[in-house]
Amino acid sequence: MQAPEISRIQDGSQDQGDMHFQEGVHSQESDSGASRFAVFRPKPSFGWLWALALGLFILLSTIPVAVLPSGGEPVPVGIRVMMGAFALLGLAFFVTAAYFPRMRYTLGPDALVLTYGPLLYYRIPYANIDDVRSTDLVISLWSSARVPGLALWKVPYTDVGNVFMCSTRAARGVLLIRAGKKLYGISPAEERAFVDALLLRVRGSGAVAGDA
Amino acid sequence: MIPVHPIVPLAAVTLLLGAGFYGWLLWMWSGRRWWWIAHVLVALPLSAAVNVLVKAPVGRTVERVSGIEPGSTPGLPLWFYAFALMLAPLTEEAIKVAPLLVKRLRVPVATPRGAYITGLALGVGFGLGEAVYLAFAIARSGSYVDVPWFQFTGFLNERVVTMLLHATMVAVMLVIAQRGHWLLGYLAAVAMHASTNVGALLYQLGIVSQMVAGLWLLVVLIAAVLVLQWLWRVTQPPVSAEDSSQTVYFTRDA
Repeated sequence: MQAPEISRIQDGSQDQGDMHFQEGVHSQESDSGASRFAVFRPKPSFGWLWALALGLFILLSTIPVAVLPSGGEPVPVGIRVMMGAFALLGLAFFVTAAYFPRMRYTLGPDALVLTYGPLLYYRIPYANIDDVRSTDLVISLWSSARVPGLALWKVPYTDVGNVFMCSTRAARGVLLIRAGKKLYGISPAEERAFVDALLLRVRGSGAVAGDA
Repeated sequence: MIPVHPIVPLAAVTLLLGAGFYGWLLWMWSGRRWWWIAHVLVALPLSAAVNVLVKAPVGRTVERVSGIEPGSTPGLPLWFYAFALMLAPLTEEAIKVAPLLVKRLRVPVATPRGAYITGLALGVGFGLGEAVYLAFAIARSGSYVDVPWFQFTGFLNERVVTMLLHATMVAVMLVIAQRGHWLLGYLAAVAMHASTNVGALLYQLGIVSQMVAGLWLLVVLIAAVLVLQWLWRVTQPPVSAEDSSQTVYFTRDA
């Protein structure tokens, strides 16, 4: 890997355009185990389809109300504004669906980086990681950016509280990573290989690793 | 071509959305099981049954005996509003749990979590059936025939929210009843139901505006979600190492 890319990771840069990742499981570990990038994809899911369907539903239900006349009377401006806001929400779902293929988990020299295209960037230093476990979470009724097969940003769960998600699993089989007071939820396709690579780096960071 | 009332398309969407979303939640919360489907199905006709067989006859009897005609009599007495407010809660909360007279359907109520899921399922089924009943009543009355179909989104929104409220009420009732306090559970559900309808009643009395009545429903919705979250925690079964769904790879605390 080129030094500029490594330093960009360390700086917490969100510029993904110039990064040249080697896709798939990166099995070329150096002796130090912590100087190479390893990029992992998430488990496949139909979360993008749910996001697309929700966006379509919102647009189909709001645009006619704002545009088409009702009984010869014009739709009030306030209603049009409200419908415009809902239309933007629908577009947001479309954009979210469009970036679905860009979800990645990158093991850098010093930190695990979770990305969802340009929409999401979480950096988790290895030295901060306290707990890694695979678990089933309990969905909460509170609104959040999660649909079956896709969960992003801060999502409240009934059993563990708020989790910063970047996952193609909304609740079942989520790999939960605790770093300090924060919880992160991911869903690597090759979970065991990912965990092995992650723990190698956690050990290399000098943290005491209590492997289960 | 057979004329179709414009409410029909969004009524169908309401049913699909409600059944799909709340069915998914029930499946997740029940541990990915399907036993609750029977409770949803048996609860479907209950709203129509209570409206046609109980509320309508009781309402007509009270009106005949008192000489009150709600549509024409100005300045209705306060007791009549109280009666109107309490009729639905008292009758609907009772019929929602009527299926539990069947022993096989009562089995899950033996545990707190089972009572919680059973209550949710009965409430969702009741709410789905109520949506069908109301859409049918509106279509049969001939009202709103000139309203474009896409402007019945208010019906969709209200019904989907109401399904959750019905589910909450029955869940509260059964979680309390599971501990041996059936009457207390019933009264708690009745109180919740009545408080939900207060906003609409105050609007009819001219005390609050339509916007305030709508905001009241929002407050009730938020309260229902909080209650459901709390019920989930208090009905948590004991966790044993054998049935834990977790795989711990690393923990610094070990």
